[in-house]
This record gives sequence, C-alpha cells and structure tokens, in this order.
Amino acid sequence: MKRFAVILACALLGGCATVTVSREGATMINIENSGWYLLNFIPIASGNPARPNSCTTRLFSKTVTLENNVKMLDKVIREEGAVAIRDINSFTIDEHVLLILLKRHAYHTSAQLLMKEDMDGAKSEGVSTILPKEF
Amino acid sequence: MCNIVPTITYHSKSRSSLLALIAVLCATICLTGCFTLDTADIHTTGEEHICVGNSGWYLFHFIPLACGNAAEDPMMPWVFFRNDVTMDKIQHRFMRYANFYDKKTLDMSYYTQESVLFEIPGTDFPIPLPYLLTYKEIQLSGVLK
Repeated sequence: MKRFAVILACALLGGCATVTVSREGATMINIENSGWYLLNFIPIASGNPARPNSCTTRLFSKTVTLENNVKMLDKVIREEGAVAIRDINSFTIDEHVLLILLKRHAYHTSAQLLMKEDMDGAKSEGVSTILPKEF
Repeated sequence: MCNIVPTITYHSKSRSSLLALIAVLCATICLTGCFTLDTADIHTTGEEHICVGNSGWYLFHFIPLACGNAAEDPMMPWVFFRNDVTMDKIQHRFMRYANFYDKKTLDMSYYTQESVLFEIPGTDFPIPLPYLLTYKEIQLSGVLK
C-alpha cells in the first residue's frame, strides 16, 4: 500500500510534455509542458521536451520554458511538412499547493500550421513562412 | 500564580503563530507577483516568439498591494502599492523590446486571469467575500519578425 502511494505521488508530481495536433478542417497544434516547483523556484520534476507524449520526467531541471515549447513547435512544423505558420500564442498557468510550498507551472503554446493547399487562399498577410531545412 | 504561566504561554504561542501566518502571507504575496519576459527563437521561420507577463495582489480589487515590477531597470523584482499589472505597461515593455531590435510585431494576443475570492493559493478554501483580496495576471504573447 505504501509503495503504491509513493508511486501514485511520483506520478502525480511528475511533469508532462504533450504535443497535440488536430487536423479537423485546419491543422492546429497545442503544446503543453508542466512541472512542479518547491518554494516557487526550485524545480522538482518537469516534462521532458525531448520526448513529448511519453511518460518521461526530468528531475531537478527547469524545462518548463518558452524556449522548449518553441523547440517542440519547430519539430512538429518539420514533421507535418507545413509551409507557413500563423496565430502563435503562448501563456503560462500557475497553481499553488499549500501556499508557496509547491507550485505547478505550465507553459502552453498554440499555433495554426498552414499546408501547401491552405496557402492558395490565404496569401502572405500575417503569415510566417517556413524557411528551408538548412536554416 | 500558577494560572498566570499557562496564560502567558498561550498568548505568546498565539502571537508567534499569528506572526508566522503574516510572514507566510507576505511571502506568498511577494513571491507570486512577478514580471516575466520570455523569448525564444523560432528556427523554422527565423522569427522570435515573446511572452510578457505580470501579476499582482490587490486589496478590494483596486488598491495594489504587491505586483511584479514592470519598470525597465527595476531595483527590486516587486513593487508595492503601485499598479504595474496593466495592459499599457506590459505592452510598453513588449513594444520597447520589439523597437530595440527593430522588429515588426505579429500575432499579438492577451491572456488575463483574475481571482476575486479571498483564496490563498493552495488552500482551496475561499471565504465567500469577493473583492477583499484579489489576484490579477496579464500576459501578452506575440511574434517578432
């Protein structure tokens, strides 16, 4: 029972990096990375941006950053074969447990990926074109 | 005589616990009010993604108690009794950053969050008296081209 409680606590306190892509009508991407902090600053466990959507957690390292979310975004852009991107948006959400003892910090990033066929109607205005791979 | 000693002990204990509670409250208010400016390069487009945010605590929803310091050269990370959690101040910092690097802005969007019930983070115990002690947060996200 005690062992089960420890495993459950570890699972709940573990961070998580998730990348979700929806292709219903438009290709939308949503990225979330979350982690737990002790006394607001000391990272305990955070999601692993190198392996999103897997049950891997990075211990004692601060991976919940905008930079890591953008890295995951870059990777998905290449994988999906998008030619442009628009409406990139990020925000953070903090939740506190027992005053400042524990904090769950989550960084969210979303964007719309534009494929070759999407570009025929929506030319250039407000759209960020993807550079060739060598960049 | 025997009765006095426990009374004094009780008073000093309650006073120290009250002081501890005030200290924890102050720490919570200070540490959870914070100005942030995060940037990251989007390598696939050659652009820069930026997210500017600030949060703070208010008395009766209008009197600022402690906020993150949105000044450009802050002496301290927090500012007391000054309202720095405004769209103007956050957007000013955003535009200053964009102008400094001579970049155009794109995809700007706001995210705001307010908590008007007196609920210390983590307690999950709101007192049904809204607007006594409130928490406010504003974030501005965008892309620099």
